[in-house]
Amino acid sequence: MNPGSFPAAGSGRTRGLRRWSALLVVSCALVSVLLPASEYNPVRIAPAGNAPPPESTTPGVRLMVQWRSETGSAAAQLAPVSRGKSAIERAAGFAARNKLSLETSRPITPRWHAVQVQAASGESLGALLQRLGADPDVAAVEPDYWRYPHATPNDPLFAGQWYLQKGAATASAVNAVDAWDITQGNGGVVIAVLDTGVRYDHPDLLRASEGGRLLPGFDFVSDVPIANDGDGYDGDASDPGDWVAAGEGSTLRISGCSSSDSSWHGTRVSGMIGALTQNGAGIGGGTWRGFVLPIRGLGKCGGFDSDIVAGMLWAGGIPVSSAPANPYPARIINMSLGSAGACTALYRDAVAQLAARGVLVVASAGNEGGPVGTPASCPGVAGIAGIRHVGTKVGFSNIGPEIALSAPGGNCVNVGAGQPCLFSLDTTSDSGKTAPAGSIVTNQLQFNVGTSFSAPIVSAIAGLMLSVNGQLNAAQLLARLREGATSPFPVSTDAAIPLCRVPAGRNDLQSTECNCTTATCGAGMANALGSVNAALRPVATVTLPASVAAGQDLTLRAVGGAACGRAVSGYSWTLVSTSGGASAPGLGAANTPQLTVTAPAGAGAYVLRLTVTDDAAGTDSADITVTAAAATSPAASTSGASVALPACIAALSNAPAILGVSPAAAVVPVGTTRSFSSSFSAATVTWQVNGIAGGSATTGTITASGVFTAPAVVPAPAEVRVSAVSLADSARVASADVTITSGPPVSVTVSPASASVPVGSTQPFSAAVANTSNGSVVWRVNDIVGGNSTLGSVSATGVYTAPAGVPTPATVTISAVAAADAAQSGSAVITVLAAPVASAAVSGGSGGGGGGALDAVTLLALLLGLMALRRTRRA
Amino acid sequence: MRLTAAPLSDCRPSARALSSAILSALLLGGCAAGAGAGRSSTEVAAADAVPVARLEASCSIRVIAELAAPQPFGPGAPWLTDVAQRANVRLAQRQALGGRFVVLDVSTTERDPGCRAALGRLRNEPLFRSVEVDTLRRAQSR
Repeated sequence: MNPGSFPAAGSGRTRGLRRWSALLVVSCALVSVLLPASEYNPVRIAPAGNAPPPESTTPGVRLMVQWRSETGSAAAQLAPVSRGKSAIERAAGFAARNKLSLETSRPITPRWHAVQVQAASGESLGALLQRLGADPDVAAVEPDYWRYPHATPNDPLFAGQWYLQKGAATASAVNAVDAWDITQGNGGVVIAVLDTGVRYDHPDLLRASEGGRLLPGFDFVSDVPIANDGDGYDGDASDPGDWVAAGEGSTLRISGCSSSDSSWHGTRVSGMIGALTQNGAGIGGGTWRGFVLPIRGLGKCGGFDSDIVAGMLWAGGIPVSSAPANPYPARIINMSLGSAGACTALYRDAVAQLAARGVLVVASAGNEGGPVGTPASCPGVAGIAGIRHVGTKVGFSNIGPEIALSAPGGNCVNVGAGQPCLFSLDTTSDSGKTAPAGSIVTNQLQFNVGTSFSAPIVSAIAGLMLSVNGQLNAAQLLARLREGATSPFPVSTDAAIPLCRVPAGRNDLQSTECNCTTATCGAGMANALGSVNAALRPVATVTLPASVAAGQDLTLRAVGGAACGRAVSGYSWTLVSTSGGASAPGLGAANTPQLTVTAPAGAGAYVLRLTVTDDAAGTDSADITVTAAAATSPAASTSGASVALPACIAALSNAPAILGVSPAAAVVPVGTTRSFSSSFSAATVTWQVNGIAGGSATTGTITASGVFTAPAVVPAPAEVRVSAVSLADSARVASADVTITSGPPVSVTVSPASASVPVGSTQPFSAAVANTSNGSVVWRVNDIVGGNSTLGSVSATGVYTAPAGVPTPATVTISAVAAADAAQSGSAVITVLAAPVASAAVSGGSGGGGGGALDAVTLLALLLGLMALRRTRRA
Repeated sequence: MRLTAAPLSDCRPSARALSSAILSALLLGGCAAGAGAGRSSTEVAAADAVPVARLEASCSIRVIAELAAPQPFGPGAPWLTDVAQRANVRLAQRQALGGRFVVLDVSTTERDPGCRAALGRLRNEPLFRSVEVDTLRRAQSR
């Protein structure tokens, strides 16, 4: 990254981050035992769900117990054995009554007590809490949760990304910082950005094949002049620029197409969703992990429905003619585009097809201050309106009943020339006015506003939601986005600001600030924490009988599940209502996943409610209406996606590149350093030692650039693991095994140190490896493992076979690389001679052409070889 | 294949000279032939054997037609010929979008500002469930 390309970050904040990071390195060592080694946690944030570290009660679990009061009305229920006892005695009695092994016991307040107990093996935490909650001395019991520092990116320009944070003065900020304590995304979640394409070379984005966030996409702009890349459909989603030169608009034959600079719109949108985060540069993304799938549907002056919808279908994995299959189908499609007019049949069909695959379309409302445009107005699409920093409608945003929710759209407050735009939405972009000229991040002077940028804020939130609960289909994802939104909308303190109204028509514009209502701006203001928490609830879905007859017994099955990492702990079926003379059905065993009831014998209906509860006490309900002819439910298993949607989305099995670390093994003496490198770009991985970001004083530390410093003393065990972890996908990890030694470094000596080998002849070499018990080496000729036919080959045991002809130059180097430490090797120089040395000269021979004397050719070859050897030694 | 012409995005009422007509016809042909590498392209005209040079297209427009009966790879030439003759338009298929939708370039030789008459005839075509103009959408930044 070229730091000069980015606006300067506040140095004070940077220093603060460094101090904070240093503290974290120390604290990491303390908490490491509580974190799974596979979970990369650069700032020690909470795993999904804020669950207590132990998943079961074996081994010991920490609990907070609240004793019943010894006074007041609750005292009557107090166990007689507890009256007058100390807190320590109460804890001991509590453990004994509940057959717990009390490991630690500590009063916190007179009524709250911290304990660590050992319960019966296999008892789930939920079951234990339920059992202990029934103890006569206990008012409440809950896990002693492990809490983490809030996840704050180390990206220096994050401070300017007010919209992802929370603050009293910015009511519309979405509080992603608290959501990131639950999840920062999932490497398996793909969010498509259907836009102008993207700048793959932006250092805060980069290709997935080099460790970045951007998958290979596709270009669906079929009109060459609009595409501006020389062709129609192609496999390159790069944005070449969408500038329109003076007079070009009429050439393009597009009405209203006036001259303009390149927008880099897709790069801006992509950065808000998935800028590389924790890379110490640029901005942070709404998601830290997962991938962005860039799809070009827009070029100069925009794009046509035919290309855009082809891109939509392809994004969701639906085949499109003349385009190859999409290897990375998205679950979310961001469409920061549109224009006026009602939703067309084409969009309705595409959205329905995508919903059947569990794909949610998120679209911006438009910037005319009028009614919501297409595609944001289409049924099933999450239409996003723009709001100001204080939560009122930003003047330019379209609004109406089609809006699902609202998110910051950017507002400047200052409107004078040269004044900063105070609430710009900072993101990635390019400085080129025509062709790309250099990566930048927008700021208050090169500002970024529009409902285009409200949508990706919500798309990123949806990505976080799928990361914790991938089984949410498009409708459920949209419903929970709305459920988690902040409402009611704030009302301006300025009494002159009117309420927003539903536009009466295309020309009914409200181009200034107004107070949002749910009829105009959706369910509320996007709230990352609220929506991720909503996503964590289980999903109640029910399988209904295909047909129902009057008085027939019918079976209803709960098929919903819990969020990733959670489990369903219970089902319940209750009667909500009866109507039209229907009798209330007998519910029998109402706490099972399956219920058999009798349909009404005649007229009328009854409504049942299925409630699913998970082991974190989250619930979801589904109502089922049963008549004599049918059983129906909006939560019917047939009403969502037609494909299986797992709760835990797996990492991409076909990720574009495999991460590697070099060297793969090393022996490092105490107190010395060794540099490691990854196969990805430098700023796209973080380094760990034994699973701890940055390492520790005990096992060795490692810098952000991969420089490992061995500890001062040999740890026990002496072997540690240095790992590079992809920022974009923490499941992509590559490691090197490092042995810490107290002695000198590994060394390798090859014997003989030099040799002259005639073409086609062999020469054995040996390697002595010192200062390690691993004597294995890998033989190379001129750094090529095993050599080749031109330079000569070397066997695994060190036998060199000269090539059939003399190479140029005639000397080659044979080296033995220590398996214990790939940075250490020994070598020997070989001169390949033109003809075999006469055997008689070596052995004292027995006749033949030479007759016991060297012929002239051999002598010449030997002379040349010796001269070459001397030259090599001098060198 | 490459598109060599501008998109037929708007109806272009014209009383153009022969050279303009030739250019329009060539552009239309270019669009039809260059609808993207490997894409199917079928062009049929209402009037048989009309020399391209004499075709005075007074309107051209790109539409998205929803087929009344889905066809996996688009409607095909004979089918389009029938429709084109009935609607008195020239049709070129640019692309099938799934089995239900097809992108068509429409042109006529009649004077038809905004292609309103041609669109009206196509919308009355029983083989189409709907016919909508391929609308330009724009990025929504400011």
